[in-house]
Amino acid sequence: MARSSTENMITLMSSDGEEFMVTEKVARECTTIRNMLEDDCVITNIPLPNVTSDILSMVIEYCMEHVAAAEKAAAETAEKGSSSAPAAAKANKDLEEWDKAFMNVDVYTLCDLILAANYLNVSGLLDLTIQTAANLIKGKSPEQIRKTFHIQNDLSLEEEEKIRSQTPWAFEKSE
Amino acid sequence: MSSHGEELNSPIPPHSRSTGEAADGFDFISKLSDCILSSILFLLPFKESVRTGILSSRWRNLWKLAPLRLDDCMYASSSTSFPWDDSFSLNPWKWNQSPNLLPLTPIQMSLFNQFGKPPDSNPLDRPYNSRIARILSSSHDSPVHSLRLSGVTGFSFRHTVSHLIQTVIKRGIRELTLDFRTKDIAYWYQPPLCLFGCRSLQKLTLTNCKFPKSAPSIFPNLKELNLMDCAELSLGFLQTVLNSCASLRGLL
Repeated sequence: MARSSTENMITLMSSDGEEFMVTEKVARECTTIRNMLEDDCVITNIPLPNVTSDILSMVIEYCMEHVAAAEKAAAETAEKGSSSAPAAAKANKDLEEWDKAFMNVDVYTLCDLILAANYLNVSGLLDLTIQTAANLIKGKSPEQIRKTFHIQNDLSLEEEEKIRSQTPWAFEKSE
Repeated sequence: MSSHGEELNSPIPPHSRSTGEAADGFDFISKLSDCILSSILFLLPFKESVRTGILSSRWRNLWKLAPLRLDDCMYASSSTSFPWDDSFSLNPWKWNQSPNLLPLTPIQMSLFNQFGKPPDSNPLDRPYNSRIARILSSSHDSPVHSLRLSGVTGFSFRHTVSHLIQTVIKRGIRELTLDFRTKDIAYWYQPPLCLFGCRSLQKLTLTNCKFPKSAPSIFPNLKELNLMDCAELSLGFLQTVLNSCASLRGLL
């Protein structure tokens, strides 16, 4: 990514004290940070006490990739006067592939990323992580879901039976 | 500050990427807020989201927080029972006790009281009202995303269908499908007038339905309208639909 020397740099500090220098453009991908910058335009150092360094570095990685993709698309449009549909489709597909690879994480990291995306308000990352969590649940039996996410079943047999009897159609074997 | 009203205050254990499943037995997902979990559930097929109610006490009522997607076909497969077997929807007293369902009119009440079941019950009627009414009443105020009613319907069920429609309008329905396949035009259903003024409705599909001569306001925010074999649809009414649906994108 081409970085102009005039571009403002922002330092983001994780809960464990690690500092990450990012361009203002990348930082603005987080609506929470964007709002802070708009409230106080001289701010250059932002502590994020709710995000650990390993998760913050991933959020930044995501934002940088998406900013770079948007800049590339804008540059191509400016160059040719209009964006060519096949090229734009390929760029979208590439970004989707990147997102997919980026989501190859364990369920703890996934949950942390959901929390961080929600806290920093990165809508694209929130949608992506929530969809990934849904995909991990989809098509699985309750027992498989519990195993995947280590959910402790604290329901008694009677309670379980009661829940089943309230919505029996949901527990039928699908045809 | 955060889009889901979530406070991030959990102690976050160190992680390594790309190991697939959780490394130890800590149930992290259940610690996410109701809001986040219900948005995850909304991305699942409705039946699967309901099924998560059995995972643990934390998950028991989460599916009810996500906008409901109701479809009578979903409940029909197993059921050999007919609507009057169900003590809930056809018991006018219970119906009236539920704050989420509209009360029956005095005429309907008297019919219930007189016959104990709808006067012209048709064995071909689907048991959709009861199941859907039960979900609606047990999920309190959760918004309704979509409702689909299909099958053959007799006269008696127009009242309950209209009640359901009024209930889901109050709960912000976005997509409604009424698919009452019946050859006899006399059985075609005319939706209640309030449907035509529904502000939340974005997609409407009607098969074998009748239209009123006019309506005070027509689908202010509808984006897609599909009409199949609909009777008494005058050109004038269709023109009004086209004129008043500013956001209409598709019409079939």
